[in-house]
Amino acid sequence: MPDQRDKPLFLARQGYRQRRVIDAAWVLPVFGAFLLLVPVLWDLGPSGSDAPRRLAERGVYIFGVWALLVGGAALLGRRLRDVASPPADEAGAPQGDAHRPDPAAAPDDGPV
Amino acid sequence: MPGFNLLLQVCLAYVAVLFAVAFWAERRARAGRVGWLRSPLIYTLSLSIYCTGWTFYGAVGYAARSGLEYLCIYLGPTLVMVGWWVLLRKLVRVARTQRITSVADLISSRYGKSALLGGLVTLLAVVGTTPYIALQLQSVTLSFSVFAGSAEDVWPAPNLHATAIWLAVGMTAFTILFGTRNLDANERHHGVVTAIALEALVKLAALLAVGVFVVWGAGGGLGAMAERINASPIAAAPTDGSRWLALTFLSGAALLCLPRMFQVLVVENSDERHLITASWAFPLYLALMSLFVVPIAVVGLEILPASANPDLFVVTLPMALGQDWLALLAFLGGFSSATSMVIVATIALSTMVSNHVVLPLWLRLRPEGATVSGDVREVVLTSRRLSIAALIGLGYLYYRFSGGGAALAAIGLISFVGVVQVLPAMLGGLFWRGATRVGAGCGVGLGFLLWLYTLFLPSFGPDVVFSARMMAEGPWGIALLRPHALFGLDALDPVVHAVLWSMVLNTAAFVTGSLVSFPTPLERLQGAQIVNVFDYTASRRGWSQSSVEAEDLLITAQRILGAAEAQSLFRAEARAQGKVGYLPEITPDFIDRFERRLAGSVGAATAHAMTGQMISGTAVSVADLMAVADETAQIKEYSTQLEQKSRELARTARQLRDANEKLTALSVQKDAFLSQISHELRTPMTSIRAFSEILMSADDLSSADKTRYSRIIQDEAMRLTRLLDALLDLNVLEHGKVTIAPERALLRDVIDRAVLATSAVNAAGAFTIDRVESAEGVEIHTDLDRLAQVFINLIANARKYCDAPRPRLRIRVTRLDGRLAVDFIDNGHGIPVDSQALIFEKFSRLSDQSAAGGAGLGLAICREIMAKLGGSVTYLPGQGGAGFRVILPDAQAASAA
Repeated sequence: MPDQRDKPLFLARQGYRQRRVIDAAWVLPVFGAFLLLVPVLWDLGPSGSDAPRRLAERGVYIFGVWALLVGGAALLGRRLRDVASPPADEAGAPQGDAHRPDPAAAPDDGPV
Repeated sequence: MPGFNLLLQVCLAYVAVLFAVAFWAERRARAGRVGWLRSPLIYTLSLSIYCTGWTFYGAVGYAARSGLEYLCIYLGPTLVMVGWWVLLRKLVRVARTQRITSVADLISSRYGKSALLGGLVTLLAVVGTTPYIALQLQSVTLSFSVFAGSAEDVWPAPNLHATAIWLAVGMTAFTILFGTRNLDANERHHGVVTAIALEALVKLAALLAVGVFVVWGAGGGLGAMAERINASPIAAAPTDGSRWLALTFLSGAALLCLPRMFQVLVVENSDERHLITASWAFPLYLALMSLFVVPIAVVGLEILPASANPDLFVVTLPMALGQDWLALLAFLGGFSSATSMVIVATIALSTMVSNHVVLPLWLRLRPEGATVSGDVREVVLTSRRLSIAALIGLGYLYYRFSGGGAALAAIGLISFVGVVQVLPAMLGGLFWRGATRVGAGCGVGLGFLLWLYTLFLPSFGPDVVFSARMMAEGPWGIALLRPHALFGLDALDPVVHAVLWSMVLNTAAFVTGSLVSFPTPLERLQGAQIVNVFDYTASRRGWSQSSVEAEDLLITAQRILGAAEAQSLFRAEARAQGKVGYLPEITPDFIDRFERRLAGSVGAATAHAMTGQMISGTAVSVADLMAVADETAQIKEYSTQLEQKSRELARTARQLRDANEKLTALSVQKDAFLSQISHELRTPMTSIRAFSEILMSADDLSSADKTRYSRIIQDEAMRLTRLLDALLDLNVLEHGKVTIAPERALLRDVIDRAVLATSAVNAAGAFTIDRVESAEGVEIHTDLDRLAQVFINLIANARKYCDAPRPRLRIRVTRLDGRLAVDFIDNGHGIPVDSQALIFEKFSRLSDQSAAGGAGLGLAICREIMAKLGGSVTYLPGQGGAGFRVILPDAQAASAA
């Protein structure tokens, strides 16, 4: 997390919730990646080559994960709408919370 | 069975509808009624150009060959979209703040607006996309041929090529018409976007319709369908873990790097919040597009003959089941997929080609630069139109010469691997400030070469570019360098092999190159701004100073943006600066905005080069860099200013303290003087009263006594008169009511007169006056009486106050800077330092010596007189006694003989 010395130690309940929503926005694709990469393991091993595969059930699994991700993204998106306010103009000053150091922003590891 | 004519009519009608929709949207946008044209729904639907003709038809064929693996092509983008907060949000924000027009522009802009890097990425994109355009032409002509196959008499084979040509021409016309209307990237292509949104609906509806028919019409419902899937030969194919992994990564990366996806996802984005809707709606769209692919493949394999091309099941299956209208709808879906991809891809590529290849060359080939004659806007638009035609033409040629066979079908993934070579430079540029131009160039360049060597060139088949022998044994027999088994990894699938090596070595070269090189100031500035885009919203400052005229900038801007737009930009700027008219002050901020506006039309590198040509000042100074990128510099600067201010304040305070001390001392002096003057006035008054009473009351006074008393009264009255005269004199002098009567005389005579007049003062004490008579023989022209009064005062003071046992006064006449100065220096104790500032003030008195004939007004009068005469009298310290210097008026000294 970025430097927070200039902020109060504890956030109000709403701010706290907002942060956890942002955390969830980071976690969702990671979970999704894990679940969607499970097929890599399906046919590993020596026994896997000629056994009949339940292709339909496998399809259901993947589309199920897909539906979960769509639902999760839709839910998170509703909560993130307030956090993600864009700047007023492409060159203009930021509005609202754009001043806050952003959790998504990378730490400054540059040479300057 | 729909005949050729019907098919043609349907196609033409569909194209006409597309043109109409695009026209309508453009007109609506032009009238300012953007409304839902910029809605998140349209944005999401426009993303569907990810699903091209290849994916529309090819997914079923893919599923028929490799089971569920085709899903990877959709799962990668799903993950990227669901994780929009991590990556896409930043990408879109950066593109908006920097006015990015394409992938090449992003890379070029991030790495110090490098034209070379932009050109390299453009080359990569063109090489990677051309086969893809060919693929779209192939998919449409193939689907045409399906209908033609049943009516061969009316549609002979050469017509297939004619179809491809007409298709290419039609798409070129549409793209040029709606894709090159305006130059500014922020002016979005509403017509194109609305048209492809409509196409997105058509292809989704087509695929869903076919799918629903296959599952519930032909397949017998969900349960029966599941049985058939598990029983089909597709289920026998094992899942290849490495390919699954590689393809998911590849498709996710391609969503970011494909020029056409970057165009709709980033450049055409008008509101960051649209990403929120797209983050779930686009994955949903992809899921729906791929939902019925496996059932269609399974049923197709069951029903159609083994010779049938699985890539065309979407059309041939409804046809075989007698659903001609469904087949026609499916055909339109495929047609939509192919055309929308080609249109957006060529718009994106033509922007890159004109901004990163044509314009830099054009600028370089014209020695007079951008400011001189020639309409840049026309050059850009023409180059864009020509490159659209050239790109589609190239795609057609590629299609013709590659024969349109299976080799072409594989090109989709090969193309992905090519464009994904931009990924390390892109992500590194977004998140790592240490990434440099050298690193990006090395990474992209090496990745490009590896892609060509391991995947693209071998894809033409044996003995076309690489000989079969070289493929099998490696170049010059070096087995380690076999294109499909680099460094001995021969067990991998070619695509996985190419992804692995190109990505690993590309990233390694990028990181190493960045670590060992040092970035230019502009690179560091851009790096800081892009990596910290959420923190730094302040405008970057690229231009420090300039000698450019506002008019020159306006002329250039008009050539690029068009007259009306350029004038409104300049007028708004001038108004913001509080000026009337069209020509604002050329401030660094304005030049910055000007360049950014140009960048929206011609790309960052070209805009920078053009601005640079016009502005002779240095591009970016280290001081500017520090001021923007390093806040500590600002703080330092601020604290220096503060220190300076506080020093100033301290000085003022000291002066105030001095003044205050002087005032306090004066006030003390004044009190002392008042008591003194009342004493002085009272003493003579008392004796006058006393003696006049005696004269009045005592009649028996002798005449001698009477005379004596009367003389005392007179003396005392004289003393009072002198005192009052002095006060009056000073008052007159101070209020400027004095008249000066200049006369000519020798200075010696004036001094003689003063010495004579003072001889009575303190006459009892021995007093020597030391003069140099020869130096005094100078003629002066001034009010002699007033000057003598000053001299008398000074000499009398010396006589009264000089406390030396043998008092002595030196009078010296000197020349100072062409002016005459007369110094009166005695050998007494002099005047203490803390009193020197006070002696010329009124009522000031250094001692209470009773001998004082005056009341502390003498020196004050002297000062006023000299000021009136145009000279001065000052205390002369460090003479071993009290020293006064009278500087005579200038004119008199000059006129002296």
